[in-house]
Amino acid sequence: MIELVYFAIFYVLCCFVVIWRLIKGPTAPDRVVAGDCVDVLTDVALVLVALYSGRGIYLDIAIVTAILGFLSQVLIGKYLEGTL
Amino acid sequence: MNIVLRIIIDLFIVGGCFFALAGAVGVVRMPDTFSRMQSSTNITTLGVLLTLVGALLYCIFVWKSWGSAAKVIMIGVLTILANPVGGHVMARAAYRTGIRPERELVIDDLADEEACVETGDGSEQAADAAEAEREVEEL
Repeated sequence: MIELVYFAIFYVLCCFVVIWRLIKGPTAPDRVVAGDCVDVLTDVALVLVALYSGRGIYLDIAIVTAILGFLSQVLIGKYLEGTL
Repeated sequence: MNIVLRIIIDLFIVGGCFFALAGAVGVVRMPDTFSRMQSSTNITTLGVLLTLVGALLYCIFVWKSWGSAAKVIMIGVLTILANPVGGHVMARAAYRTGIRPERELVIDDLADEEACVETGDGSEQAADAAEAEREVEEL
């Protein structure tokens, strides 16, 4: 199914749209939320690339990316709040 | 492969792409921080989950690999569990660092200094006692 890689490229283009907010964002929570969006979109693009290329190893990388994105979001949130 | 199955998988993934694009445009275009946070959940719920349902169908019916299907389900469950927690933490951090919505709030539960603070040295019980006292006063 050749169209899977086109969907993956579409998700990566959505990443670039969100990266604009990551660069411009006036406050720190804006940047963190945009960074988490980039993380999740990269995650889905990795799943689609795994289906396209037929290699299951990309699914493992997607799991690790999901866990690390959640941890980083919670850690930066607690740090901004001052209760870390 | 079966053409009906291919069309079903593509419809799921196209739906996911639509919601991801809507969320990305919302993150860029929304006016204040909390609106942008609300729009980013559009990406992390429907934008991801519809695509993962398509990927799950692909893993089961094309690869016929239950291990890959379990990995895709694990990614979906992680996304469902992790994103509300992260969103609450970020919204509270934004409030505590002094960011307010553009319009005035109708209900402001975080204005109470004791609300949702983990201090860990027994002052949680003090907060509970203060809250019980307040309820008694209301009665």
